[in-house]
Amino acid sequence: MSESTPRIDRRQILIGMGLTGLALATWPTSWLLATGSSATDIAAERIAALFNGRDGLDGLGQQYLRSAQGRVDPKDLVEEILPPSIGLRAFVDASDDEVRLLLSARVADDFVSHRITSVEGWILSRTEMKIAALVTLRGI
Amino acid sequence: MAIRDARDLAPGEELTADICIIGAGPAGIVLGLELARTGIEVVVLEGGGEERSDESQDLYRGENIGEDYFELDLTRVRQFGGSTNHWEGYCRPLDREDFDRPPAADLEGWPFSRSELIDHYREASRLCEIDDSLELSGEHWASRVGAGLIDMEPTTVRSEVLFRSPPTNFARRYGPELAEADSVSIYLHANVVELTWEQDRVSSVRIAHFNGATQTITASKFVLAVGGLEVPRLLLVSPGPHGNGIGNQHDQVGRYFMEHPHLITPHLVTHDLDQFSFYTEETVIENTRLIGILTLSPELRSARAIGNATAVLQTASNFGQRWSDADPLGKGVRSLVGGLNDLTSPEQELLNVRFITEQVPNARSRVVLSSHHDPFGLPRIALDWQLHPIDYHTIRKAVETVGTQLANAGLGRLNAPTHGGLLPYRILGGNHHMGTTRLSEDPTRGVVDASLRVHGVENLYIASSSVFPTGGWANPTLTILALTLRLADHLKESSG
Repeated sequence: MSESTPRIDRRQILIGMGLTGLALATWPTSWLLATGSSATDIAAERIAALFNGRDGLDGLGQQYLRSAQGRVDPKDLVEEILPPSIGLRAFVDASDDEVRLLLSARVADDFVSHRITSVEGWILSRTEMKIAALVTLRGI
Repeated sequence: MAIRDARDLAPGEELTADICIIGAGPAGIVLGLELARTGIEVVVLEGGGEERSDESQDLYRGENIGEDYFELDLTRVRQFGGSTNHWEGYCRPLDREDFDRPPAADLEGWPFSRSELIDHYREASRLCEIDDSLELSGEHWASRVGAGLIDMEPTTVRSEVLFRSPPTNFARRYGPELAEADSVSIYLHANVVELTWEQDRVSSVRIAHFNGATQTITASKFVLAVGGLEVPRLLLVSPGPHGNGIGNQHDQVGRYFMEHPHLITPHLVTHDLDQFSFYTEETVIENTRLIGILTLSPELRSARAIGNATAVLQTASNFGQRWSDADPLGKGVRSLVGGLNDLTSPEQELLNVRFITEQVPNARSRVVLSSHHDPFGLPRIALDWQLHPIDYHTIRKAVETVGTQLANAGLGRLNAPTHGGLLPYRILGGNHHMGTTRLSEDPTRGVVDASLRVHGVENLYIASSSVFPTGGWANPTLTILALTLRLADHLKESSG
């Protein structure tokens, strides 16, 4: 049966983004400071950690990588996946729910702005394909 | 009068009537009933019997020489009651915009507007035992049962409804009343093999039997009330004044064959099946059965120069696991949807999404006579169904728009598999045969005029989906009946 989780509508996304903006202005970049990893690595890990079923995502990711011209850098993917208004350091300090809201808003914006692609008939947003590619690259 | 078996007529016997109706499907039955109320003497000729028979059904065999299509003896029913012996009962009038000039086609639309058919549509709805308000708004019906609608941009995709008849079997529901009418004679197993031409008019029709016997029916007026494949056949096998078929002086008979291209394989991965209950479960309100559907808005169709289309959603829970195992990319999509929505369970639901679309009239899409013959020596038909690039464009745009809107509403991801990587999608028909004797005031661009009279023939009319100059996406029965009721008014006036 269907999940009980309510769908995220646009109003929720906007509220979420507002809350995130507030939170990002005040929260420390504790993860970054604690691990010494680059912010991009941590952001990539935060994104990838949200998704289960890596083998399925890998199929989509490989499709993206094949269609891309030349080598794809995970750092570039992270920058393209993140909303332009959110800084990298702020992103890594966001909670899982906030990361999810931010990515959902990015995907929703793709659909509104017609940044979509068809992969063997699947209608997906470009951000979703980049997420899949990021997961794939991190597994290589 | 009772229902009679034409095989019991004496060889060479001649019958007469004011009006002879050829075909006793829903159109022929309703026309007969309407005319019976005025006392006009009517003979109704039906090729089939009260039950379906292989021998009679075989007369519908033919060839498909165009796009893949159903076997021609399986896509229609030769039986008293016609297609209502096996229909699913889906009913809907054409949209107002469906009457306009079709997209990017060098052809006119209907010679009259939808408003001229409104009263007839209402009566047709009552005959089909559905609500006669013609209210199509999803909001109107959903609010009456407290159901939720999918949140979409109304200038792009709308929630509307598709009505469902019980489904009414016209032979069982209205046949007894027709049979009891004093001025009506119904003959079953009456195989019409020729319309006989005489001085600008059809003087009689000839019927034949498998034992070689024939009879003649003479009338003042004739109405072809058979399906969109058989109407052109009967006209083309009858030599007429030019030897190439009655009404075919401009080579228009059989052209512009239209179907409703169906794309039935798309599915939607969703984590929120409850959102779709108005669309997947039949709603019953005061004896009216209906389901919610998604339709492309007129604004979008106009802006994109595409035809009309709808998406019908059906649950596909039994299909889920097999699909999941077979489609590795689908697993990836499920991971994406699950991750973005924080789903702890990997299980998500599937919906089948059936797209039903409009085909634009296209002269190359046509019914012609075959080199094969039936037991009466008549040429069978060959169907050369051809889709225009606009038709594929309509399908692609419908899938993309609905898929985008559903994703944007946070409801899931749509998949529409490609077919061999060459054709955009695998297309099927809907057993709807339209356009082969299209309505046009210009005899060089159609076969019947606005009164449904065949151009150049004084006394021959057509009550069939074959006259549709455009077909929208809606199931044709309601429009066939509305046109038939309109024709009945005309015949009553001109015969009175």
